[in-house]
Amino acid sequence: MLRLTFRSAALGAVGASALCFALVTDATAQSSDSSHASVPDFSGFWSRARPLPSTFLLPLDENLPGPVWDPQDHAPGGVPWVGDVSNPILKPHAAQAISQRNDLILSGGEDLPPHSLCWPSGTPEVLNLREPVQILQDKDQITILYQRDHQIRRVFMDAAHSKNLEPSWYGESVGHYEGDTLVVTTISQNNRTEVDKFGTPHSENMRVVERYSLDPDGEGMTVMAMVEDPETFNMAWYARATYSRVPGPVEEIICAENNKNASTGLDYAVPIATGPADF
Amino acid sequence: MIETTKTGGACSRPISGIRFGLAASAFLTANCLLASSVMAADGANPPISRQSATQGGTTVGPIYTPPEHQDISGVWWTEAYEPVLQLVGDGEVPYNEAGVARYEEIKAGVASGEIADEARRVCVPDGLPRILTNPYPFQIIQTPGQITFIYELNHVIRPVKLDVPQASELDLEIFPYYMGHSVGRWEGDTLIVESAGFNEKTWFDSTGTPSSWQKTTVETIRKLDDGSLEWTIEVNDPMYLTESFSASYVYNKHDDVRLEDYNCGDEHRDISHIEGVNPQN
Repeated sequence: MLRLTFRSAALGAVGASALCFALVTDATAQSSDSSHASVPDFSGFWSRARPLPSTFLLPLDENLPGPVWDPQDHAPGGVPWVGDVSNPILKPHAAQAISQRNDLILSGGEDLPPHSLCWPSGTPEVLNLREPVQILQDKDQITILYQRDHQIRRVFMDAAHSKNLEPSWYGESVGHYEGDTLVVTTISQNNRTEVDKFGTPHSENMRVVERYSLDPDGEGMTVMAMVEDPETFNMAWYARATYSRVPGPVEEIICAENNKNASTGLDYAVPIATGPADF
Repeated sequence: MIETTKTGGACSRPISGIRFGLAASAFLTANCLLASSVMAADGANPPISRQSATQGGTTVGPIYTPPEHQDISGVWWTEAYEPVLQLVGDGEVPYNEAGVARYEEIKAGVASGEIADEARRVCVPDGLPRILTNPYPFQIIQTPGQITFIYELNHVIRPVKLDVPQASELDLEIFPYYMGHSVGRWEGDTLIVESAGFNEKTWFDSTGTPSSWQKTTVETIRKLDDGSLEWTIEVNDPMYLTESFSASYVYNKHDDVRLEDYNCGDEHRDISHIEGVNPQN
């Protein structure tokens, strides 16, 4: 169904990218080019590209199902972010979760997503973090280091997904190269994270395919994401995030030691051991 | 003794968020290195040798392959956990009067509940040398110009820049880290990592042994064979110690282990087979 849609679309730059996505959904762990010389160089430091808003996943194409978005054109720093519950991707319970969050913040309440409380973000929400990111590109593993609370993602290259995975914060990511594109597929993330800033939930069966590609000059990077989760969404949807190279480094900033409300100075909760250490 | 330079500034802490071309970055980095080396040579601090650069391996595209004798990449895991710091040559931590006083203060605070072991309560980084004996696996990743230690415990990231001078004394003082600021170099088959710029929040071990912002460390890391790694650390802290001390650790390689997510309050992997881990857990 989706493939027909893509093929009927005009093959502009974005349309062609979407077509690639349709192909990816059918592809699993293709072998990489054995010559490292042809591997695109994602290594180094990156940050979400300006201008703002850099904290939201952007639609990939207006003709494709896209991420939840704020229907209002808010001024920066103005009206709180409100998710559009009419987005057709949303199953009723997902729309309900967003609606409850909308009600909370519109009534003056404070939304505290997991990453505000020093828990991992999960993907694709991790793409919205504004702090610097470092990509360590190795032959067998790509490691993505996020300055925000030192979150770490590991992408196992040319590997098949493991069987009988236990859900975890970042699940299991496997990757391969398709020409100049790094394709990362992630499954088995636990359902404690949210998909975006609007509180969109997901199940443990969410599957996220990210396609990383460099701008021709190597100074920018685009991540296109396809998200599918039949328990939460009526259809697969597509988003993108853009990055620019930055000097780095990734600083040591420890979330749990100073997690305060910038306005009130009050401490937010942080992850705390539930008992004595296991060693 | 850690060699720090009085250089740095814009070289060591560029303004973040500026779009930075690769060529420009390489140019600036090269010039910063050159400038730092030249300035470091002006005075008591000799320049760090650049003979040990990672160019000893091969870099094809973005993929770096270290030479075999300097290849320490992979997942490593201790076989023994030591809650109390074990010094090379035995003995106790050589605290001076101020160190003893601070140690007694911490122990009393822990006993009364006024001071907590924050590395275990809220999972902030253990610092050095405490993290070196932790019973969870860690990973070493070698990329051009950087060796990165990633500890599963408390998801600690510790980047070690290779063949560059240490950050300026000003930067080290302004930005103290739990894990310090680290630079490294290869001397043959041995990696030397020098660290400074620590905060005062970590302990040498689980008993509350204090350290100060004056702590500096030198670690020497080398493969004993393809499956084991020897890691020795020398710790100096003029504020609290009468002399430096050393500790040494050995890790085994575990190609079959992948590091896992680790967050305070979650259930973590089974470490009951590690010697010294509390058997009741």
